This record gives sequence, C-alpha cells and structure tokens, in this order.
Amino acid sequence: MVDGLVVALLVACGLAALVLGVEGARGREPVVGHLWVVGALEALLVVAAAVAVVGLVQGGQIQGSTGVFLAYLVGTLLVLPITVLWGLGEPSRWTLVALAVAALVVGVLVLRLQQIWVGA
Amino acid sequence: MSAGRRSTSSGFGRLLVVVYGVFALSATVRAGYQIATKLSDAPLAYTLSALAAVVYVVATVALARDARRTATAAVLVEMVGVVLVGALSIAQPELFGQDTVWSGFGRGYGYVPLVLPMVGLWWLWRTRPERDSPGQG
Repeated sequence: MVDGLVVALLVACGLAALVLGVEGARGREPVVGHLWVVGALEALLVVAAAVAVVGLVQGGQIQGSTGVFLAYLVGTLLVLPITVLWGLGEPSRWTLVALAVAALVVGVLVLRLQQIWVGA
Repeated sequence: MSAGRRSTSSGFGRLLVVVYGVFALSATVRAGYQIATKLSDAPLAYTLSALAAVVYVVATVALARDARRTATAAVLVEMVGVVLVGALSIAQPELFGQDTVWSGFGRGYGYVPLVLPMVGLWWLWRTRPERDSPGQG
C-alpha cells in the first residue's frame, strides 16, 4: 500500500492503544471521548481500505491470494466496532484495555497487509 | 463486581473474550483458506489448524456466555494442544510440513497461544462459584 498511509495507520493504532491502555490502567471507565479516539482510528481505516481496494482494481498485485488480502482488510474494519459493541455491554476499565488490544490487533493486520502487498 | 459468583465475561473477562475472539476469527479464516486451497500439501498441519480454530471458537463463545464447563474443556484442550504440538513441531518438524498456530509453542503469534490457555484457566479459577456447586455449561 501507500507507504505514508501505512505509517500513518501504524502511528494511529499505536497512539490509540497507548491512550486507551493508559486510561484503562488508571481505572477510568469509558466515556464519549474514548469513543472519539476509536472512531477517528476507524475513519482512517475506512479511508485506507478504500485506497487499497482502488489499488487492487487498478492492477495492484498481492503475494499469495487476493482473498486473504481482502479478508485481512475486512478484518481491520470489523475489529474495532465489534470490540466497542462487546465492551460496552458491560462498561468498565477493561472495556478500555480491550479496545487498546483491539487497536494493536488492527496494527498487526495493517502490517500483514503491507507485507503481502506487492504493488502495481 | 459484587459478592458471589462472577460471570466469566465480566470485568477482565471482557478483555479475555476479545483476545480469544481475535484468535477464533483469524484461526478460522486461516484454516478455511488452507483447507480450501492446499489441504493435500500438509494434511496433518491443516487439520490441526482446523481443530485449533474450533477450539478457539468454542472457548470464545463459552467464555462470553459464562458456560463454565464448556469453557474449561476448550481451554484444557487448547493447553494440551499447544504444548503437544509445540513440542512435536520442535522434535519432529517433518511431521507437520507446514506451520500451525501451535507450532513452536505459538512462536509465529508472539507466544500468545501458549500464554492464553494459562490465563484462561486462571480466570476460570478466579471466577469459580463460591459454593461447591457444579457450574453450568
């Protein structure tokens, strides 16, 4: 994928994980501000997914299977919303830690996507 | 939270279920892809991948729904699986041909597959019913 975009995504995932993890570790409960952090990251992921799909349509090559690439891509979009829904089922500090872990998982998925993206 | 028996999905359990869910999802996708495209390359490894996927899915759902017995069984199978496959994959690498989630004690996944069942068992112990009544599930 576009290198600048990948770096931005990784930094965003790391920052979100740090902020949410520290808040959880301090025993805070989830408030709207935390959801804005998650929402901003998700918005960035949607943009990145759109860029990736456009890149694929324009003849981008994947190492291995395109299906796997798309599965990872869908994964990056689903992890945060599912964790928010599950976590808010019983809001606590652990909701924030779970969201921090989810942000890290998204970061790993982005790295995997970058690894198997060969380019146009 | 309050006194008495705690649900396996409460508190720290919220986080644990998320981690199990991530493994359930990724193991299922991985095993499905391997079996659909190249089962004949490494039948044992890919069958084990599928077994691991089932174990993670069962553990995730059972922990989320507080089905204590099912969760304990799944986590125990997971523990045995990661230790057995981990040891075999190092002693007899040619046996598998391809890596599984549990190869090298989960080295390909930052050893999380090795630590996860230990945390799972600890959590099931921590949230065990106070009286000696059998758990549901």
